[in-house]
Amino acid sequence: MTMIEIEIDGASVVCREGLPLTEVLMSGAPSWRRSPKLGAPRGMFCGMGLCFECAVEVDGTWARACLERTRAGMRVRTGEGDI
Amino acid sequence: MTAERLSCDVAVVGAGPAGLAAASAAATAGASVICLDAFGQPGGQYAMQPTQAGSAFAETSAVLSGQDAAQQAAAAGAKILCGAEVFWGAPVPGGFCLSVNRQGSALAVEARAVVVAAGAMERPLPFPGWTLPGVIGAGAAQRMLKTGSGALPMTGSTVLAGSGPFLLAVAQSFARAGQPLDHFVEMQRPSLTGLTGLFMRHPDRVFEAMRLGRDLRGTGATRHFGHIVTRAIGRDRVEAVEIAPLDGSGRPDMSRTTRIERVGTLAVGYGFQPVIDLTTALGAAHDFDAALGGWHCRADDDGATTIPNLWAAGETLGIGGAAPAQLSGRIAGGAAAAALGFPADDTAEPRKRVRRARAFAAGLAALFPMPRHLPLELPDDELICRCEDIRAGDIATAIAEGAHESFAVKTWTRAGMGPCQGRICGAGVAAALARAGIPSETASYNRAHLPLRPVPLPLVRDAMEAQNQMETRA
Amino acid sequence: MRGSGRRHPRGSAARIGRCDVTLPERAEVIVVGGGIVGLAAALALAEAGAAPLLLEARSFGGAVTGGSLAAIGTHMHGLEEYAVMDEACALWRDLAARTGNPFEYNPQGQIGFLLDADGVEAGERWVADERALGADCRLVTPAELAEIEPNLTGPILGATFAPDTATVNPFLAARTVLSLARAAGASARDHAPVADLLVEAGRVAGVRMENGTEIRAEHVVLASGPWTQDVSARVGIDLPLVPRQAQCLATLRQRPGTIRRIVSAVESGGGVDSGYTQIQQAGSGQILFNTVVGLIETPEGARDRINEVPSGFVLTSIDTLSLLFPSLAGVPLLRSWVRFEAVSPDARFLAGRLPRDGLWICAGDNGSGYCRALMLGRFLAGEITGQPALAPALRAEARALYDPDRFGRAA
Ligand SMILES: Cc1cc2nc3c(=O)[nH]c(=O)nc-3n(C[C@H](O)[C@H](O)[C@H](O)COP(=O)(O)OP(=O)(O)OC[C@H]3O[C@@H](n4cnc5c(N)ncnc54)[C@H](O)[C@@H]3O)c2cc1C
Ligand SMILES: Cc1cc2nc3c(=O)[nH]c(=O)nc-3n(C[C@H](O)[C@H](O)[C@H](O)COP(=O)(O)OP(=O)(O)OC[C@H]3O[C@@H](n4cnc5c(N)ncnc54)[C@H](O)[C@@H]3O)c2cc1C
Ligand code: FES
Repeated sequence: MTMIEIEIDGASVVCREGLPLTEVLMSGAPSWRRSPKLGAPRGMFCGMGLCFECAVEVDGTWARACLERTRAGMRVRTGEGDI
Repeated sequence: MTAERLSCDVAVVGAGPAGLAAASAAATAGASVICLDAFGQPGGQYAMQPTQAGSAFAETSAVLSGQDAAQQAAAAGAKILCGAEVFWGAPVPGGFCLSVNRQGSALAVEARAVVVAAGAMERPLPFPGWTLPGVIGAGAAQRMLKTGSGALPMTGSTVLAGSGPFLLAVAQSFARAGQPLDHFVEMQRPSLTGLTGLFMRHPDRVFEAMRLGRDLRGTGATRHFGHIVTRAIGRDRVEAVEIAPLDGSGRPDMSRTTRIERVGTLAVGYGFQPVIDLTTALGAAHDFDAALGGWHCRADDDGATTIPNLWAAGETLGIGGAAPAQLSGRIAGGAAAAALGFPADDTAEPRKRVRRARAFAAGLAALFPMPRHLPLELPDDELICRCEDIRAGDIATAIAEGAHESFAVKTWTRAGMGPCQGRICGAGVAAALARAGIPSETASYNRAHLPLRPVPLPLVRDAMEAQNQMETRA
Repeated sequence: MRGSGRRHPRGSAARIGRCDVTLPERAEVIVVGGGIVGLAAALALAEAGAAPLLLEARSFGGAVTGGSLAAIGTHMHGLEEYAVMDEACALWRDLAARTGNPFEYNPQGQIGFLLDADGVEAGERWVADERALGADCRLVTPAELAEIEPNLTGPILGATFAPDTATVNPFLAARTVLSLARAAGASARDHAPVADLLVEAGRVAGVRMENGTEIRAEHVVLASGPWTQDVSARVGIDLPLVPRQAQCLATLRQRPGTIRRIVSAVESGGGVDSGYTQIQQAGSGQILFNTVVGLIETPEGARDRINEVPSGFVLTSIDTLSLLFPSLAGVPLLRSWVRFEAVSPDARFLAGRLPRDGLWICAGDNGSGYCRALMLGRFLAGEITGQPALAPALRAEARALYDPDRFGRAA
């Protein structure tokens, strides 16, 4: 197994390569987004790219964390309210 | 930028059991084939491939069958593109143009025929607390076990709840991963006579069923049959789960609830619904059948939809499991190629087998009937639409004031206007309409439009430019 | 409250479309069509005491009404209609104030962007003309624009600015007008398609529903949008209305304030081949945008199909948005939709009496019927009931402007 370094919200995180990004995010906390009206915490729900609850920005582009695989140097931004 | 262009005789959307079989069959007949899948690797849901070397799933028969199927399709000449999400399909002269988000760049595939094998997705039913972080789909839990490191990342105990044979498959994944499962909550109590009858008719499936039962016991989970989750409790994440037994009328007996404490993950699954975004967008007819997971694409025995040269296979046609999916893929792929003039395959045998496999699936589904109404009352302030934060009470009021189909509920409440476009809230909205006396058949579904799934504007632009050129080419 | 159900207790139970509904056997006035125009007519009729029955073929406000950007303003609509448009806008403003604004009335202002010297010249003329009529609008420099619309950083030469143009949420506005109409005594049925008109002694005497049920009425108002002539043709009236395809795109939700105003341009004078751009941010945060250059053909059989946005339209709309708002160039698209508007030869509504006693029309929205709906509803209710709800001068103007007979009788 190859260990790599990725960046999540500016902090460096060491993890295995090729993991679902959701696994890495969830090992911190199960939520990394807020719902639009109530501002309630949200994270992965469907795990297969169809609910969009896991949205993040990867290298500046909107993405679904559950479809992203960890790769060296990827920069992830989670949204408190704006993704 | 301009979109990358590819063209082929048959494009297959989905590289699950159905899509791979369709790609193989069409390519074997001599058609040029491109098979597209949004996921990183072929296999779909059933034959999902691990990402980690040494995964406990590396040698399972499902994983191996997926590798085989992909190799076979490739050997027959099909081009399999993963990380390629089809976000639009349109008729163009001589066929179709599929717009694809291929890992952040646009790809336009021109195909004379399209086979849609887009599979299924979970059919989430809302219940109090279902939006708390840590409450995930049963399929999401399984996916994480199979494609991740093999351990669920959340601390705390794990509850697997819902209904249907798939729940047992997920439990089996826990057993295989060696991941603790603490509680197993199944809404039904499948009758012994029903089970016996089914397996007398399909003795070849007995071994599989016994394995599922053994693996469930092997997880060490406390088993609660005839129970449902009545509430997920927590502040910023799920912390506890309340369950209750169902009474004779199928409603939870709220005087006999049990609370499961220190929960980190609640994985819930009440069965599947077909993925029909592409087939609805292309204007194919769809039918409603609760036993097949609700709205599904209409097709004849060959998989021909109501749109010429548009074919469908696998669970897009209705929920039935991997075996009929694979067979229907083989039939539709061959038929799609034959319709373009390639030599036809003899499909008498797969047709016979697909009927049998579907009969088994139907028998199994009958043992776990899908609840048409929500088994428990939702409080007015519980969310039905997660994307837009729309509450059950908002939806009930809209229905009372004159929103009498899914579309009308959407326009008056925004339930279904967010990023999921009604995929997740659809079942909850349908249940609310059913409760008001409007059955799902008449409440209809929200048809997909450009884009099937959100895509950055530059990709849409590039793909539409390609489509436009195909449309206007002399 | 005077529901027509109560006034006409002998109703016939009929299964219409998808819902079990009880239809009355008669009504004073029937309104055919539950878009914003029909709903507004029903409201005004109910307020005038006529207890109308509104019949909508599918869902209330689900046709072009539900696909609308619903800008409410006098700006860029030509000069002849200015006075009635001013009243039309005031009615929306007052309705918002009177009801506590459940439909997101937002007087955000409208920018008309000017891309070239010709545009600047036209903009200057426009502003001068509109100001002469008393409109609140002016030219703004790119520097001022940076404050009014900070993300509009594309290569524009200048802009017009009308600070009082508003938007409403098209779904909630329709829903509000429906519930006010009901509260005032109207009844309304969805999934209730009208198939034919009943004629007795040369007079329209009611409607026949698709399921055969007949409902009698003194007056029938056709507010059926682009397909109004399908109904009028039943009594031999051919209307000069042509359906025009209109479409829109929506992005994923963006931060509030990403786009503050309605940002628009009109590229030609109207008619089926009119070009325009309209960009705005909805209350939901989504950016709604569309750019049409030239004619978009209305496909054969359009009415019975769910139509998809043309690829060329998507291209130009994305290009225009990216040109004007470079910071939005990479945001994800969420959704698109297609609707049909009713275009008349002079880009104005047909509102008033048709050449068949008992038959009235209010259709021909030309792509800006949201704005005019409440005013037209009042005008029509006044004509039908004889209790005018518009000031006499406006009423006279409206009669002249919207006379259904102005193109010559085509009966
Ligand atoms: C979450 C989940 C878990 C499941 N787990 C099991 C299990 O463990 N055991 C079991 O027997 N059955 C399982 N099933 C049932 C499973 O659906 C069938 O057994 C079988 O996988 C169906 O095959 P299919 O080819 O029809 O669909 P799938 O296997 O679902 O394949 C469909 C494929 O299409 C792709 N796709 C869909 N839309 C697009 C698009 N627009 N662009 C590109 N690609 C697209 C998807 O990414 C997917 O890979 C599961 C189903 C779900 C929904
Ligand atoms: C993208 C877009 C942007 C727009 N922006 C603006 C704007 O900024 N400002 C503005 O003022 N306007 C705007 N419009 C136009 C505005 O939405 C329309 O002018 C207005 O909604 C017209 O309303 P209507 O009631 O005439 O039509 P519809 O909403 O089409 O209503 C007609 C109704 O009649 C029903 N019907 C038809 N036949 C029958 C029958 N036989 N029996 C029963 N019912 C029948 C239909 O089902 C339909 O619901 C926009 C439109 C679009 C598409
Ligand atoms: S968890 Fe649903 S899209 Fe990622």
